[in-house]
Amino acid sequence: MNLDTIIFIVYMLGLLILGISFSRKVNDSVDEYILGGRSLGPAVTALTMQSTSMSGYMFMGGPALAFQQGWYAIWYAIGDAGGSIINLSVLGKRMRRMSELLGALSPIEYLEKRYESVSVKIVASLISIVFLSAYVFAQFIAAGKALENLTGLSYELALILGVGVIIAYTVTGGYLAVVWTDFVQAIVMVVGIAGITIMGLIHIGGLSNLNASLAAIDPTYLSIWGKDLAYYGQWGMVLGAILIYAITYMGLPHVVVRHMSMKSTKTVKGAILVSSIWNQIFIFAPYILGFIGIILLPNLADPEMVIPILAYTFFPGIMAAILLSALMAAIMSTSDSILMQTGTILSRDIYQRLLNKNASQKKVVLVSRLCILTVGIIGIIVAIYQPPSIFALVVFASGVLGNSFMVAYVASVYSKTANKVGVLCSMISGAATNIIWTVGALDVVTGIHPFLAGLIISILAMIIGNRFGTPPSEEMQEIVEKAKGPRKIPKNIEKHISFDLSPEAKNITEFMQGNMGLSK
Amino acid sequence: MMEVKTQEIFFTEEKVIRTLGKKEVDTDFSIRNIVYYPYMFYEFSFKRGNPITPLKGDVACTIDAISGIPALVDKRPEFTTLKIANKNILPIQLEENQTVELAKEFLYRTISKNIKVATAPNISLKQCHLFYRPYWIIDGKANEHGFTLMVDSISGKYHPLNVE
Repeated sequence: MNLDTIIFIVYMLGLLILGISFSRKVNDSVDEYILGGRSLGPAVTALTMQSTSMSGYMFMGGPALAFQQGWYAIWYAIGDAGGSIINLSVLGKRMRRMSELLGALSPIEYLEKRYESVSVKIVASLISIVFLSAYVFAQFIAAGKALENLTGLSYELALILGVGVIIAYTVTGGYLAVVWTDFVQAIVMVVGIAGITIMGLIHIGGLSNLNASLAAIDPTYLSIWGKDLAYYGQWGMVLGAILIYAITYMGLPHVVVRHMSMKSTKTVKGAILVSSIWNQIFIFAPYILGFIGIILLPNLADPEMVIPILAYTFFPGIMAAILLSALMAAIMSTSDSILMQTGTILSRDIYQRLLNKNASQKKVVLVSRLCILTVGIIGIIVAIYQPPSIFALVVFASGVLGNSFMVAYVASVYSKTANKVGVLCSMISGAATNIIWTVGALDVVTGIHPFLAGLIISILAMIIGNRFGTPPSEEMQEIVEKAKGPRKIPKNIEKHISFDLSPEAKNITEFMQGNMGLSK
Repeated sequence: MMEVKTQEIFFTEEKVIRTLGKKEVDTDFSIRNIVYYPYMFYEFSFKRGNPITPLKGDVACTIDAISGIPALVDKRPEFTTLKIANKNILPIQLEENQTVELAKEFLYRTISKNIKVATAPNISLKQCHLFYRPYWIIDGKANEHGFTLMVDSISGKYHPLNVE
């Protein structure tokens, strides 16, 4: 057993002991788990959020693209960093008003209510689940690579070992995931990534020298069109790169768990602020490391190993092994929450709702665990027999999610007459087009990015499908009309609205207008 | 008049007006009314018998008795009994058997997600209460434009209402 493997095992055992000791401290109480460590301060909360967002993509996918394409890769980071801003300014205000008027708390519930159709919810949930699984597959591949590097095992064995650990941890563990272990992890990763970036930039001589060195190797690394100007003039590709991350999040089936404070509490705005600042910094760091890799690691065979190898270059072996162990643990905590979400939606929203309405809770939990196991097995097969790059997999999943949901959301607020048939056609054909385009490599033949192709087809499907469906109810058309109007509320009041109160607000409005029936 | 279980108001009339006024100094705020919104409070006991990692305790949630939307609660609420005018009470729209099922479903889902149990844990109902949470209805006026807010009198959180 090599030193790195020992460090990895010690690190994992350390996390386990830390997790168990903290769980003993809370007197075996379930509250701390259920409420997700609400008693912790903003700094711990912020760093915990940070460690969850740092997944295999950040450590391996992003740097690999930067290593291969140079500054072109930054388009993806811009979409990622500015995505929420674009959303807020373009669609955000109207969608927010619509959500309030509909009393919807999550994006998929919003679509179900706006298009007055359970089928829309089911199709949206299925698309989300399938492509969330693709994210998990990307994490699996990253886990396999990290473990291969740490233990010296073959990729296949490391992958099976890694996925086995993730699945076992997801269905039985839980202790590693308590906030304190995430907090420790976040510190290791943040310090590690920042350390490598600073060391790398010092070694190269700063950003200006980085650019000068890149230009000396190949000036097209500095171009916004990619290495060898591969995407020259293809604004469709650039637009696709930016939009992919900007739109995708709306298709994710956020399970919004509301908390009702039983006494007045201070909100954790500090945590959100700290976390946002970290995010903005760390979205760009992996790409910068990819550029550094071009200069320092010209013979690198696997671009996804840029960060691990730079870690071994700049730090003593022990520290690099700790960083890789933290990465492995981060992959575990990201994967387990997605897997858990997938299992819960499949078992409760699909199995219990559609297939077996009278299923007992024991059966539902069992189905959920079997679904997780199945996703794991499929993941291993995909990752061993035809492993795509982590970047390609994440971009593919994001692209399909964007193609499925973008038109549905835009039409929901800009068209009074957009109906359920139109939106179903749009979601299904948008997703199908992106899949066919990607699998058949039609972008090479046509020069059109799969995301752009999916977008065009989903718009056409919406227009055509809409002709065959019944128009939305008059009440819904009125709501769409209302959502268009500007809200006459002062800015500072608007800024602090608690949107989780939307269902109550809708009901109180109806009550005040005399539209509510008598008590049951 | 109806005798109902409710919670003690933390954000009083003056406090609400003062808090909103601090956020927007150029706006006049006035209390129009107070309404009582129905929720079911459910407390379950939870037990996991795993010898290595045993876990037990109580978990509680509320179910909005109009929309059926669940929410976790952070501590056991203290209720007081008050006589309230019927015109200020929102009517319940869900039967009790519906709300208890929603509560169980929600807790199983949350436990399954947050605690990661391999099998369904045992949860049993310890207590349940119908209670009414007070919300202030506040009118605001800024530059000739009027708007209406509902303010949670316990947490101080607010949301606009779409009433004229």
